[in-house]
Amino acid sequence: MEIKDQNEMNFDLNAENIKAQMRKGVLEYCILSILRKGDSYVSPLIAELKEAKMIVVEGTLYPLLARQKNQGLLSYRWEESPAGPPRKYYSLTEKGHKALEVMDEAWGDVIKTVDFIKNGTTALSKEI
Amino acid sequence: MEETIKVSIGGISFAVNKDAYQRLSLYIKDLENHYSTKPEGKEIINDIESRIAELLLESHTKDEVVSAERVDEVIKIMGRPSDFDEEEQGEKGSETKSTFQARPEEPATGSDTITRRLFRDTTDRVIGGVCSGLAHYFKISPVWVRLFFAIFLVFKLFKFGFFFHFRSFVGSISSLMILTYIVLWIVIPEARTRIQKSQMFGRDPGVKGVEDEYNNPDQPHGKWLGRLIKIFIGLILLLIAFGLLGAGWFAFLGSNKFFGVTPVSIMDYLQMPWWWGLLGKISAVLFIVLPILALTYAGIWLIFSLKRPKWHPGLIMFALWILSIIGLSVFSSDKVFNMASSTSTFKKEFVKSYDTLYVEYAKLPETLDGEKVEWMKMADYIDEAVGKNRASNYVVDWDVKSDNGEDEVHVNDESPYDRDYLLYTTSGKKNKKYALYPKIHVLFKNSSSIVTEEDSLGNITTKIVKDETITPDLEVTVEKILSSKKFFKEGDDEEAEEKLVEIRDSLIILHPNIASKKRKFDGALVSTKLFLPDSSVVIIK
Repeated sequence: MEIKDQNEMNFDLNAENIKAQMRKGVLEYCILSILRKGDSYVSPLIAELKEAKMIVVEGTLYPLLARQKNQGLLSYRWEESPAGPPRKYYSLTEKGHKALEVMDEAWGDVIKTVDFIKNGTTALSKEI
Repeated sequence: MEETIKVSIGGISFAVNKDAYQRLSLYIKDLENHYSTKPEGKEIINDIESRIAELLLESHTKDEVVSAERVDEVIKIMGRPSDFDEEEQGEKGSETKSTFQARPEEPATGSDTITRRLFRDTTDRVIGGVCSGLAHYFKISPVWVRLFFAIFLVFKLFKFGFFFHFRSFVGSISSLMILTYIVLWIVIPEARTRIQKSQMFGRDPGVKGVEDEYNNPDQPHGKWLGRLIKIFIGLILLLIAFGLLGAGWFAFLGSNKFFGVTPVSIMDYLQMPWWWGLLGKISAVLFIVLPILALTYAGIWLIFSLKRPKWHPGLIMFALWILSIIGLSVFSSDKVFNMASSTSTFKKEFVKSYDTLYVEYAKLPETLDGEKVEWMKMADYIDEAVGKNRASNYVVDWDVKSDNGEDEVHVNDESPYDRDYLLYTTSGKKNKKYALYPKIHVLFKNSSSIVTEEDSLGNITTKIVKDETITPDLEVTVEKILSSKKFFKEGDDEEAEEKLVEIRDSLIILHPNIASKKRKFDGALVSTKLFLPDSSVVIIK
């Protein structure tokens, strides 16, 4: 087993932590965005998030869904599945749609800001 | 052989080996500890369980034994609670229990998690699954409900009865219950899907387990009062429906006892085109049956808070009912039926004055419409149908008192039926035939008069003088109780009179007016008044 330098290890942890933190914030935005395209149950939701490399373990999703439901952004209904247990079909509520609009705006601002800081030129400068 | 354990994951049963069971148990324990203090913890665990079941089903058939390796894979996909990295780790409590458990024999017997719904359980049925469905709804064993309905069926089939009142009562209640079963069969939907089956038992479809009713946000307490009021109103509606049903039953079936036919099929005996009779029949039946159906439906709907069907049964029933009213009013409209009866009177002549007159009722035909028929008096038929002592309750009073104060002699006083009109019917229930004899009243004319004479001496003598010249009179009246300008021909009255009352010297022959489904009743009631000198004698055969 290779023993890593203490500093390197710390950095590794931090990088993981930062990634995880960023992912979590964005994840909620992503869930709502996927549901905007249409009601869905967990499997396709997971498939899409995995494909986009948004989540690593599926378990992450459930607490988020539960919280968003409790916040009134989502609602769900039970529907039969051809095989297996009945599925919870999630859909955006009115409140969810509004929250998503706000998030869209915020996300756009963040992109512009980060772009501006990194490159110095972009949409933001054009606006100014 | 490897030991396998049956477990229910997310409501689906799996066979897992011992290792896999332990791993799953530990994983679920882990989740429970992690989420025990969060309000939505239970839901999260249920969701994860469902997903595990789904993942297992992707690689396993239902009967395949799940291996420890597969469980590990699934756990890896799902991730450990520590991987989820949800903010704070709460203190570990033990309130939240997973629904993951060794599979119990019976579905969980705890409190309800969701509103119980009434469905027919066709997986556990004898006829339509109504009884088992009701049993699930009321949380009792289907045996009791079945027994309840079975008793009425037995009563109905074997006509148990120790004495008349009891039999009649039990008979109609039994019929009612059987009808109720049929209505329930139609109204209550079948539990087809898994969700509906779970709702039938009041379980959350996602989990097969125990949840506390009071923790359930789907069923706020405030709704209870509403439910109670709904059930109360529903019961009242059902009671009214049953009351109406009783009345309708009596009018349409119970009244079999009146004439041996139901009022509806009496239309078959009246002279009118078949399509006109059909209109009347359908309208009449709908008019009575629809409100009963609607009330029953509404009652059941309220009591069990069923889903509103898409095809608006209430609206359809109401529309049909309005149509039936229109049908009835067209059917009985003035232009067709002139209910105000018309009468025409004829005089029949005797050739000369007789001291003795004979009245004879002509013999009833032995065969009619190509069938051998057996006649019996209506009164006897009713006695047979409803029991001797009760017959008077069902009597239709045909008696028409003379209004001119003349002294009336009733020819026949045996029963109210044939006091005036002698009504015969055929025995048996099907294809009944009726024979109605003209009515005969015998009235005496005062043929003698007291004559007071005074002679020349002033002596006053009184003597009774008979007027031998008075001859008997026969007055025949034809009364149309149903006279339709459209369906009944003009000049019927005279025809009827000639056909039914015949005079042969001193003999008056009364012929029966026969009605069957083929020879329809023309609505003519013929009555005769025989005026006689009080010195004459009438012999009625």
